[in-house]
Amino acid sequence: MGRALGELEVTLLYALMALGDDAPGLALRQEVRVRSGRDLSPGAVYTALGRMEDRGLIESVLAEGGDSRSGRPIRLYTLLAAGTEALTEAHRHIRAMSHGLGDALTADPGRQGV
Amino acid sequence: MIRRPTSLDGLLRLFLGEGAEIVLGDLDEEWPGRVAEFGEGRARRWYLRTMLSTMGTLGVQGRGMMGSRDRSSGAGWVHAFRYETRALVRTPVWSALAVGTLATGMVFATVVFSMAEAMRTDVVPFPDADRLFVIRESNGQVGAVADPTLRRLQERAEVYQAVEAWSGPIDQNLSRPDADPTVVGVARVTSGLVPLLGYGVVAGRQLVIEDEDPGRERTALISHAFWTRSFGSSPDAIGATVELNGLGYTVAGVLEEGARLPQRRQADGADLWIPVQRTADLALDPGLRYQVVAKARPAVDRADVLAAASQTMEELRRELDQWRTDPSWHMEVDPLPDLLQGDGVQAMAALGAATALLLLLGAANLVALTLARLQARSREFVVHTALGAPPSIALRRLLAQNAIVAALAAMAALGVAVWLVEVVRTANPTWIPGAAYARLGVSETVATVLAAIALSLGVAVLTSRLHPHVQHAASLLRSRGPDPKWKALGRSLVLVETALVVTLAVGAGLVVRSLSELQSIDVARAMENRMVARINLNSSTYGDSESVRGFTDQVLARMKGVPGVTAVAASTSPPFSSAGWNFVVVEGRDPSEGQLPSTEIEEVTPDYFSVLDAPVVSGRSLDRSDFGDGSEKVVVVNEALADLFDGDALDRSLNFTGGPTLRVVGVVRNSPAGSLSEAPGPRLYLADMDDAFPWTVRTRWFIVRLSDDAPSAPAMEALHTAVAEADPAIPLHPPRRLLDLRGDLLEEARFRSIMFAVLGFMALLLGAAGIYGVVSHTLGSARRETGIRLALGATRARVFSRTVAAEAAAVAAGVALGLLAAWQLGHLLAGFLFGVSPADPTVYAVTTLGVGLVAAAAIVIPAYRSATADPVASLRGE
Repeated sequence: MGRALGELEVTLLYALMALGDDAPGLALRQEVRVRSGRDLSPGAVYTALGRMEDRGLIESVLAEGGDSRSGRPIRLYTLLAAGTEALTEAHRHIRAMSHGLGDALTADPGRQGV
Repeated sequence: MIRRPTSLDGLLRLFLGEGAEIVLGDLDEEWPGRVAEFGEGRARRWYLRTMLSTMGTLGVQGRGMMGSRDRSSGAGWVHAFRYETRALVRTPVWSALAVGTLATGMVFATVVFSMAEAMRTDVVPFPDADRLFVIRESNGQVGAVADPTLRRLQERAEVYQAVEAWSGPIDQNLSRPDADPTVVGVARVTSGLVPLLGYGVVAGRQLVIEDEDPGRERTALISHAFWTRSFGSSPDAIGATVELNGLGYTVAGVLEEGARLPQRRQADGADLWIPVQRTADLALDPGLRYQVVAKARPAVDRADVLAAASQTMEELRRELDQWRTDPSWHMEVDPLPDLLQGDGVQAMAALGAATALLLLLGAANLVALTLARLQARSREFVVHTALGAPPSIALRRLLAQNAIVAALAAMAALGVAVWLVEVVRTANPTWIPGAAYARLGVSETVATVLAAIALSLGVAVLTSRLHPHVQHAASLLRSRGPDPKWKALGRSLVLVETALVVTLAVGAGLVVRSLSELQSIDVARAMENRMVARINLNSSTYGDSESVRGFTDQVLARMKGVPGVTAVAASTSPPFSSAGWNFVVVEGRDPSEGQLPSTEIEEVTPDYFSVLDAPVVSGRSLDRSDFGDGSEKVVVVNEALADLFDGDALDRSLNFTGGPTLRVVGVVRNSPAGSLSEAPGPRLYLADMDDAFPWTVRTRWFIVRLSDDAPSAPAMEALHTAVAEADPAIPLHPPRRLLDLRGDLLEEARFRSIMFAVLGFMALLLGAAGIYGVVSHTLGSARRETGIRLALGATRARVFSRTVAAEAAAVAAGVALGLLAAWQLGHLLAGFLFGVSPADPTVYAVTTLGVGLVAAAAIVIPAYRSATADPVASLRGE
């Protein structure tokens, strides 16, 4: 299954899972921003998505864009089974490691991964 | 609604190709929300930040936008650079040509511009140099300034901040207690000259105006070098006494290191700077003559300086009796930097022009080479595009390729430039003032490297736009033949390259021809095995030229028969150098008509011409019977002076206004004097200097000719002994090889020839490569057309001749244009050419032939290949 997922990749997979199939790249960025307050650059997001597509975690299709994007093409991403599996594994790992640390992790806002 | 900024969209497309559209679509969608949330200003900044970070991450990593297929198509910069590096290694010839083209231009640009900068800053190291002017009184010949004029100029405080003067340096014999007499260079200076030039003293004090008072103790400043040499840098030097020709001077101060007089020739530096001695009385010593340098007040220009100086001359004419009554007397004013840089400015202009041509050639060549490469690789790009790479892949590849080429060229060029500057500094040619200080300028180097990178990237963008294959990669498969626009561009490239090559090659040819002319007069051989040494006779013992000649004859007689010495002679100036001059009245020319011609004058002993192997063209040289009282006054003249006579100069007469009549008995070949930058002027050799000048010249140069393998040391020891025996009080200046003394003449010519020859050769090489590139590109893109013609029954000969004729027409036009340009630019070179006219027909003919042959080869080879190709293969290839 290859190397473990990076933090940005985990973040994007969470967002993709929340949004469901055929999620546009922009929607993923907005989902991350709404949920965590992080404003990711398109470059970072598409690089990470491309990497995950290479690894077979997600797939994408190119579609025609609407008027709001001046007819420019749009790329839509879908979570694959391998992606779901990898995210589950990562999530389990985080849960296991953070178990019982609730007070310590929320006591100092400076430590929140914002 | 506020529209989204789009300034960086194009750049993003360049970086990401089609993938940029997805990001731009996202931004379009996101923009209204960002404006509503942040306001316009912050939203714009967000746009900029987002674009830059996206280019940074996606551009470098080259992934994502077009899905995983991107990687197989090779998008992304890192990949592009790796790929192009391998591609360049696989085609070493092309790579070497491209790198060489750029590097050549860079080397010459860096070196020439660095030297120009060194010339500007180091030749004129004085503060406020742009306000320094040299003022002269002149009656047609460049003159010095007389004392009354200097005084009056110094009073014009509203125009000049300071007016200072100097004379010399001249050689004088210096004696100190407990030391052998030596020869030193002595300059006389006004007290304010040193501060005007911006120099300080490292010990003691500066000169003050009281030092100019003849009633006071005589003082002197000494140079740093003299201080080190004669006093071991001891502070005791201050207050010490030195004796110059019998007069004692007290050392007042030591000049800072490197202090020099503001004059062109620095070979004879001044060891002692002694104050001029002037009385306050304007009833003057007309014999006092100075070089004058004035510092103008700010905002006073050359015209103001000249007007003030001319006014001064008029005032003096009214005030003084018999002052400058000849109306030809006038004032001359020149900016000091112009005089110091001299014809070096011309030399740099010629080199600069040649460099500019080479750069142009390099640029044209790079276009041709890049296009040829694009042609060769168009298939590869088409395949990439068909596999899903964006059409911009070719642009990206070309950018990467040319960036690598530029980087390699910069490295190569820096290495060569460092070496070349070292060569220039070592050769120190006199025609580049300041060559001794030449160094690679940092700003010049950086500017050149940046320009080269910009040029090669610009060429990549330009060619990718010009080339139809890139714009419509897919349509290539349907294309019928070369774009007519491209054909026209190709022809103009051939034309421009040929013209540039011809221009440079003619220039190089002229300079090289000039060197061979110079060598044909055997200056080099005349300098071999010759030693020179100088003496100065003091005026107290040697009051007239009779006694000077007596001394000289004694030394010459003692030198005869010294083993290894084959001949020896003496003269008043060193060989191949300029000498004293005077106006001359030539028989058959009306002296009242215009300016009198002037001639350089040398007193020589009978063996002078044979010692120097100077060929007597007609008549005879001077001999024993020409010397001494009662003998007829005769002279030998050089060809330049003989030309002033109407017809044959032999047995005609000349005189120096008022002097005795002198009969011409012989004509000798011209030989270069002083500098090769000027054609040799009239020169006259006589047996007795008194016939030309009303004063006694007390400097003599001994020229000793040694047999081929004789060591010089014993002969020079003998010369020392001979001089000491003739007069023990007279020091002999250290003897030198004539080659060391005037070898710079040859060095200069050689260096210049090599520099221009290299330039010409590089131009020819680059031009050939460029033409070859263009022609093979044109023919390559016409392969289908050629194939169809051949298939339809055209003969190979016809296809071949048609191709060649079209390109040859462009070459012919280029040659014509180049000859015209060379003829125009030839004047820039006129000053360097010795014995060759800037319009020399041989050089033009040979160059045309040479360039024609090279261009023919560059055309015929690809044309032959194209015509002999298998038509079926050609068509299938398309």
